[in-house]
Amino acid sequence: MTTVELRNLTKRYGKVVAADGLSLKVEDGEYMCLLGPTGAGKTTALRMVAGLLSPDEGQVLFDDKDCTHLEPEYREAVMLSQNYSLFPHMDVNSNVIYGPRIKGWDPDESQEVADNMLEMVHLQNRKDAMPRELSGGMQQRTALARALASGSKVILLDEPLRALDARLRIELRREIVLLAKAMGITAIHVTHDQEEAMVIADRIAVMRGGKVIQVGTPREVFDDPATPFVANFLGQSNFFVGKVVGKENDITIVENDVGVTVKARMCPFPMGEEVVVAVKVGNTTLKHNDGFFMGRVERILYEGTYIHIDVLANGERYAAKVPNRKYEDFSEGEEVLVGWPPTEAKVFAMPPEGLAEELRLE
Amino acid sequence: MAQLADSLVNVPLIVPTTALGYSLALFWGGQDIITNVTVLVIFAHIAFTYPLVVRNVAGAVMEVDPSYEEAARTLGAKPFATFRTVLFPIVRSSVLAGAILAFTRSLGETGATFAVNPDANTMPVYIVNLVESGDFYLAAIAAMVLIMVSFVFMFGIHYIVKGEGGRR
Repeated sequence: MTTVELRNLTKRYGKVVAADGLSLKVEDGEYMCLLGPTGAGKTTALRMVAGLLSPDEGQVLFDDKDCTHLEPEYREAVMLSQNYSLFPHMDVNSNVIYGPRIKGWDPDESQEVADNMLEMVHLQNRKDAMPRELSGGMQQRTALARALASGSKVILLDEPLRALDARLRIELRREIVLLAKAMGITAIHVTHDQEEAMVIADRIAVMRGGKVIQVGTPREVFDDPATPFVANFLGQSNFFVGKVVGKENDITIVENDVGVTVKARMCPFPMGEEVVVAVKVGNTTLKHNDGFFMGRVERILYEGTYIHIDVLANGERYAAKVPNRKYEDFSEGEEVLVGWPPTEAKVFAMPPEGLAEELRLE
Repeated sequence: MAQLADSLVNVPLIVPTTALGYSLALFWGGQDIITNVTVLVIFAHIAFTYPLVVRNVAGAVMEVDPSYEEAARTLGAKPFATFRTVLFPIVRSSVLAGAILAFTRSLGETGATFAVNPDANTMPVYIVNLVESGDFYLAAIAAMVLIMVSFVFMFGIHYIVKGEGGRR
């Protein structure tokens, strides 16, 4: 039973604010992803949980107990870093058994735990290898076994898959989640890869500028983003700026300053309010006979299963992803109608600092 | 502050050892806490050799990725255990190399030894005395022994540094 709670954490480095009133609660046994662009303060948050960094203000609680100033070795929260940090002077077995040994467990019991972990990560045959003799994937699995063998109740993963190639990354992220779940430990996983977060997390905490902007299941943050930034960061969105001109049957009608109107989901904003309509690239349709406004195809990219099409309309660029079987239907320079199912488009209040600033990836 | 301390460490390396030995003899000679000249000779040798060890070890420690120690801490190791099981073994070869350098330097030194205690019969002092008394044959043999011992240690460093480097 371990819950991890961050309460109002603040951390400054000179003028840079790495954590700005950061609050988050991770439930027992939950797999939580901290997702955000570089510089959002994800690693800072993780290091404060590990006890490797002391917050200027705020609290870190394990099981509702204040551990803000507890030394890392007493927290039972093990860190798995992106370069694995396998001890170079120890073989695989000594690395994996390090936690039990340093905690003074019974030697036979320690070896049994290490053997179990090595078997779980399929490295029982490489016990005597030195870390430098292992491939990247094996090093990663050794580090994982070492972390799990330490008996910690919380595992903190800092971009653990960053240094691996794409195929291995997909395989290993599955393994990590399965092991964490099998052992019932609470996991906090930092990543900037939204696709990775979507498939592994129970819940995602989207971070930006040292704050958590939204916490929710992958589906919640994807389908019902809290801000235009979240809408764009997860799955990329198209935006349409205008004023609310009508509401009918759960649908909002938004019109821009040159009289183009689009439809979106119901929203709480009054008539005449300036709003931003966001719709996922994958939900944007390009048709020859139906849509909200006309645009000119600027670029077509064949990406494999999908094709990516950029369209220039009303001086803005709109992107769409359509199945590759439609590749023949479009050609660069031709005019198409841009549209979307109104229920897939969400209406946001115009951000006070402007849309461009809101979407900026520091 | 750290930078100041860092450059102060180098001072004994630039001060001529004779001057260092003489000032040590002056400082310790006028008191009666430590009167044993052998101890004073050892003091003098520590004074001009420790920068070699500090240089080597500090350089190696600074190159060690702090994430090793952080990993050890989150795995449950207390600060001293972290030093003993992770940091020290990683920099061990540099500690050894520094020690050997210091030893060879100490072995061949005359100036400071002579300034502190003219009667201390260390190997180089012994050779100087032999030359002065015209016993060139014995002086040559003693010099060869000294050179050979120094070479053995130099090869020792080479072996240690190379061996550890390969294991990383």
